[in-house]
Amino acid sequence: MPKPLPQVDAALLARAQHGDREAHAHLYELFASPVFTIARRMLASRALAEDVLQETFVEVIRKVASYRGEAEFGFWIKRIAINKCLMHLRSSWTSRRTEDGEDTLSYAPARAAALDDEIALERALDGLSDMARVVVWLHDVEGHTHKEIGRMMGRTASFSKSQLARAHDRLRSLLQGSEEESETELCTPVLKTC
Amino acid sequence: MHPSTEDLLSVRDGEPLDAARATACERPEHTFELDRLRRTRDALRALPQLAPPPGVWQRAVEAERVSRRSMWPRALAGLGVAAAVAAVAVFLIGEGGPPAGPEPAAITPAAVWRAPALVQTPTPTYTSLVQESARLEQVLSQISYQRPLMTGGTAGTIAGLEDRIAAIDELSTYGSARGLRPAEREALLSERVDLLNALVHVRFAQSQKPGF
Repeated sequence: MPKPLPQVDAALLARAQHGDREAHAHLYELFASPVFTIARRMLASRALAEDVLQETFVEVIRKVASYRGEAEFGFWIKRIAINKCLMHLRSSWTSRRTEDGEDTLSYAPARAAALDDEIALERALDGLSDMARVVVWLHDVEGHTHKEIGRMMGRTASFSKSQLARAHDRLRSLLQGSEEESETELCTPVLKTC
Repeated sequence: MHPSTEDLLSVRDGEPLDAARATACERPEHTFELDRLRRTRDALRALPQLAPPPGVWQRAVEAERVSRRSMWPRALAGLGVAAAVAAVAVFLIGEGGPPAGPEPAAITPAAVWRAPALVQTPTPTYTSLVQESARLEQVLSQISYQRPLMTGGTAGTIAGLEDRIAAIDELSTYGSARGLRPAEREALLSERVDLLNALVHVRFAQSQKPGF
């Protein structure tokens, strides 16, 4: 199951819908982290994820008054973020910025030993194609069905299925590669511990 | 029968699979791979949530204030999709069509000019709309996009088109909850294709201009 989203009480939502800036800020505090996480995972770039976080909350402020409760509020925000991510991926501007190599997830060296698997997985996820990464994240983590993913991307459910299979094949080879790498090297360049 | 990764994923996710394939997936030699797929999914879900960078909220508030001030031009840009397409077409025809040189991207002008083909098709099916939507997304991703060199008008048109595509995607996602009928879903997809088509033309024209 996907991670549970923060709950928003009706009073806070009502204030936000009436344009209360403090309520907007409170919503940001509640949802900035999940939105930034989903954007970072889907786009594999910290700079783009930051853009998506900002754009998502601009839209939340603009549209919260029209939220009618069709879906849970957290899900509504997440959908805005996912749409923004997909919009970024439609532009080759994205590839130019992610090629800059400005972004690598990193952890404090003290925690590094315990986080080897996590880091390997993060790196493998970043190594997937945009399409495969988005599908694996939306399906395996966010819990969307292939039908839903197909619709979001203007494709079919079977497209989503085949992308998921490709993503897992690629993850397997990337993770195997990283295991072999860690067996042959005493330290990895990304951690810079020696 | 050797099961594919797609078959194994169907078993992992409890999705329907024909009996022969399902049996093949459950053979002992494939259980390791099935377990690996489960472990990978669990590990992805267990990745930590990331802390947002500082200062984004202040920037969002400022951006919202600015966007509120320019709401009217953007709304007009959104309404003027047809006009934008016509203007771009006139511009390109006036220029003698898109130049055939290698710059600025791998996309060929012919690919862009195939974009309106759907309009000429009398009754597109849902499947053909999905295919056209996918093709346009691919064309769009190949156009060199010079973001810093846009005029306010072009930026407004692009933002208007992108906003409307996002709104349609949102409507489609909530389609089941709102009880959308297949014909309505098809109409939405058809509009999405038209908007993508317009976006391709605007972005293509914009990518041909070296500066303003």
